[in-house]
Amino acid sequence: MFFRVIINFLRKEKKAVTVIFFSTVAGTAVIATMLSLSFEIEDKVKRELRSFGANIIVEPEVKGLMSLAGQPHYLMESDIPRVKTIFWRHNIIGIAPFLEATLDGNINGKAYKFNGLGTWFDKELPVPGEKGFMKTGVFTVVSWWYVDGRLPLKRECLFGSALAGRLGLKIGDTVTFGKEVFTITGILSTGSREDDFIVMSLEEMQRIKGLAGRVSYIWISALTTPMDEFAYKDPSKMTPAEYEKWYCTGYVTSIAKQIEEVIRGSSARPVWRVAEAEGNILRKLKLAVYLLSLITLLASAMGLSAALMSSFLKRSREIGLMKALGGGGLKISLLLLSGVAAVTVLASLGGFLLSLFLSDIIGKEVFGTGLENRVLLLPIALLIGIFMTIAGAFLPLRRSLSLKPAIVLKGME
Amino acid sequence: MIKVRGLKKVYPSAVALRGVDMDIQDNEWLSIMGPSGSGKSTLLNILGGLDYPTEGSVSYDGKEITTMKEDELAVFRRENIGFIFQQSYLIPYLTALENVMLAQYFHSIVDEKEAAEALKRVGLSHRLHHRPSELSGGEQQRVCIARALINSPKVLLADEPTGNLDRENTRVILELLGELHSNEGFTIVLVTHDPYVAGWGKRLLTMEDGRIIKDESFHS
Ligand SMILES: Nc1ncnc2c1ncn2[C@@H]1O[C@H](COP(=O)(O)OP(=O)(O)OP(=O)(O)O)[C@@H](O)[C@H]1O
Ligand SMILES: [Mg+2]
Repeated sequence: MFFRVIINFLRKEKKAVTVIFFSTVAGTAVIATMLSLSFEIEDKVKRELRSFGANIIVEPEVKGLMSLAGQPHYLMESDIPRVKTIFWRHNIIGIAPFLEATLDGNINGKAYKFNGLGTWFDKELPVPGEKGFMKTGVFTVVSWWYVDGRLPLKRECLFGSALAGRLGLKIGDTVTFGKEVFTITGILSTGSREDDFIVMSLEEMQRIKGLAGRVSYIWISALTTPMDEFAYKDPSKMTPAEYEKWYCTGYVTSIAKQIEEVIRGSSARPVWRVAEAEGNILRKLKLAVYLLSLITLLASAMGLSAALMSSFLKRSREIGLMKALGGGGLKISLLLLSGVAAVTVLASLGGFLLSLFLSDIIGKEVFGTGLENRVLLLPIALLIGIFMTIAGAFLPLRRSLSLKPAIVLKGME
Repeated sequence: MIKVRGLKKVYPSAVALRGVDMDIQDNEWLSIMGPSGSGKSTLLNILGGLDYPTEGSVSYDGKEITTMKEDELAVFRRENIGFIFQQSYLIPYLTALENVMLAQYFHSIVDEKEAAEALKRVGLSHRLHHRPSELSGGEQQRVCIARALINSPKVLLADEPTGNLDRENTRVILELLGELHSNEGFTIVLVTHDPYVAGWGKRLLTMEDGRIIKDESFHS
């Protein structure tokens, strides 16, 4: 009986079937794609956004009288690998330490006082407890450093573009620090204060300053969970349970806190400008995706609804009869929707196939790779299809079921 | 027993019932006649819970149905009432058997054997898998009878069930109804324009302008 009801619907209501089929295919495909996109968008976009630069800065903690002394304070380079032992170690995607100090240099017999900066360029950082290395260095925390020439090795350095310009220096020129002669291998343009610096490897900087193993500050780039209301609570005022939750959520603040715990004598703070911008962008992106999904859902459900409205209207005599026979709303709805459900399930499968294709294109266009959660698309498409059917059928059903059987039957005489 | 008291039905454009009172006994076969527009169908629809009166009451064994909600009425209909209409209202794309099973589906669960048995009793065992369009008018009306009786209703309401049939088919249908009536003991309320058809009942109500003007009992 159900089977014949379905077949009849497919054969007699070609127009409604077509409309329902295509609006469901389109709706499920678009929504499934967008939702699966939103699952991955967070990770992908976070990585894209990380090019904004470091979002955590670790500096020596300066307490009490020590700050009055005006002495420079340092962090230990040997502590840095421990960053890869914290709870959120996998979210740490870039680390670069810096040693900043003045350099007494000599160019062509003339003495200068330079600002010097040592950092990692291409560093293979050993990861404690693991075999592999973490490839990191300054370019993982800044994307705006541009080197004209090549990176410096031993007895080599970069000159900031402003500094080089003022002194009329170019690649191949030399500068003497004490007895050591350094060759300029490149001109560094950053658009910020490093343009006035001499930059070399951390090792060289430590050596000529006699500060072996010391660093002035560390920049860290970490994937973080966008700050929400809870994240802004003061950790020192949290209950133990709240603190636990905060600590184990990848907020930029909790990651900073964990870093602080492994680097001795340090104080780690988020770069708020970056962290907040990222959170906002992500939130807005997701909101946009959800809103678009909702609109698509409504549009498809409305298409479905209109098609069903006219289909049910044509069948009102049938529906009136069913009511006269004592049919309850649920049983009549089941009967009426069996055909619709057959169409929407098929259409959802179609939508699934289409969404595979769509997510592939969008993934490649936007992120350069396909999306990974493709299996998820099937249940999503089916669920959306079912949801659309229910949403789209609600009004037509309600209208049909409110028909007075006596009037309907009479009207057909 | 069905008790009808002070039943009125007012439409914006017409008054269909102007106060109807009557009692219908269990197992009775009641015919209703009257000119067109006298309110026969309206009365039958209200009796069957397909429509609400403007005023008045209808009770089945003391249970008032005019105050029931729509879904209570649906339950009432499927438990107690079988309908037969002038036009054989059948679902065109379902077979005879499936049309009968539809009533089972709404009542409780489908039972194909029982449905086939019901069609056999109305002489259609060779037409189980035919669509309505492949059946004659008389055969269609017999499918309707099988459907109306499949859930063993207490009351069968028939609105000009033979209105579209010739004398021979009318006789077949009435004989069938008579047989089922004496076997199964349900109440019949049958509206007709045809004195021959009305004569099959034991009691005849005559309506005019929304009122019962005559109530006669025949003792055969
Ligand atoms: N839905 C309706 N809206 C307005 N008026 C109606 C409606 N149904 C019936 N009427 C009116 O109520 C009156 C009684 O109608 P009803 O159908 O009960 O008559 P009837 O006795 O069954 O007539 P017939 O023998 O022609 O079937 C008529 O005047 C009719 O026009
Ligand atoms: Mg009538």
